[in-house]
Amino acid sequence: MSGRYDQLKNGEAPFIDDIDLSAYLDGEAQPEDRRRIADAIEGAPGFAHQAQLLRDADTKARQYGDALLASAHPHAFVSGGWRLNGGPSVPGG
Amino acid sequence: MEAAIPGLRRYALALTRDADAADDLVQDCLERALTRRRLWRPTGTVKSWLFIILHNQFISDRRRMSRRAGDVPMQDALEQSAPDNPMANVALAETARAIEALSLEQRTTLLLVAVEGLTYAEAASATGVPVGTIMSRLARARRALADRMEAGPRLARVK
Repeated sequence: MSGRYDQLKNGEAPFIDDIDLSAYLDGEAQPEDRRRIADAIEGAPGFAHQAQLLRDADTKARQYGDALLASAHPHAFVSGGWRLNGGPSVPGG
Repeated sequence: MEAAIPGLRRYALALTRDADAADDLVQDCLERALTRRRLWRPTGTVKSWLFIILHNQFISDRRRMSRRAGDVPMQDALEQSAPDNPMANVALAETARAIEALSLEQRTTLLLVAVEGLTYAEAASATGVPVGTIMSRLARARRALADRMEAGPRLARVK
C-alpha cells in the first residue's frame, strides 16, 4: 500500500486498504466501516481515484466475460439481452 | 433456472477457457441440478446454488483430467470478436491477458462477484472458502487488474 495513497502516507487519512474499499464498493462493508470509508472517499481525491480504478477493473471483467460468451455463442446475444433456448427474446417477437 | 444459464456459461468459459469444455460443464451442472433439485434449500438463491454445483463440478473434473483445463488461451477468439474494430480487439486482448494472468482463485472470485453479481456469502459458498478469503481475493484481483490497465498495453519488444 505504501505510496498508493498520499493522504495515508501523510497521516491525513484513516487507514483504508483495498479490501475495505472493495467491500465498500460492493455494499458489503461492515456497517461500522461504511461512514469511515465514505468520508475518506469524499474527503480525499486519492481514494476517489482508487475507487474508480477498482470500478474500472469490474467493467473490464464484465467486458471480458461477455466477450468470452459472445465468442463461444455468437448468436446468443439479442439486442443487449439474452435469448434462451433459441427462442425469441420478446414474446411474439 | 434458465435465467442463470448465460452466467453459468460465462463462468464456465472463464474457468475452462475452452468453448466445448464449458458447454459440457454447464450441461453437467444443469443435469446435476435437475436430478438433485430436491436437495435445494431456500436459504439461498437458485442462481448461487447452480454456481456451487458448477464450481464443484469443475474442480472435480480438473482433478480427473490429466491435461489441465485452462491451458488453452481464448485470446485468439477474443481478438476476432469485433473484426471491424481493431482498437477494441487490442483493448479486449489486453484485458484478457490481464485477467488470465490472475490466479484461478482470484479470477473466479472476480467473475462471481463483479460479473455474475453474487454476494460475498454466495461466492464463498460457491468456492468453499470463508467470506474473508473472498474479500481479500477480490481486492487483490481488482488491484492487479487496475494496475495492469493503468499501466496501459504492454507493447511487444522490438529488437
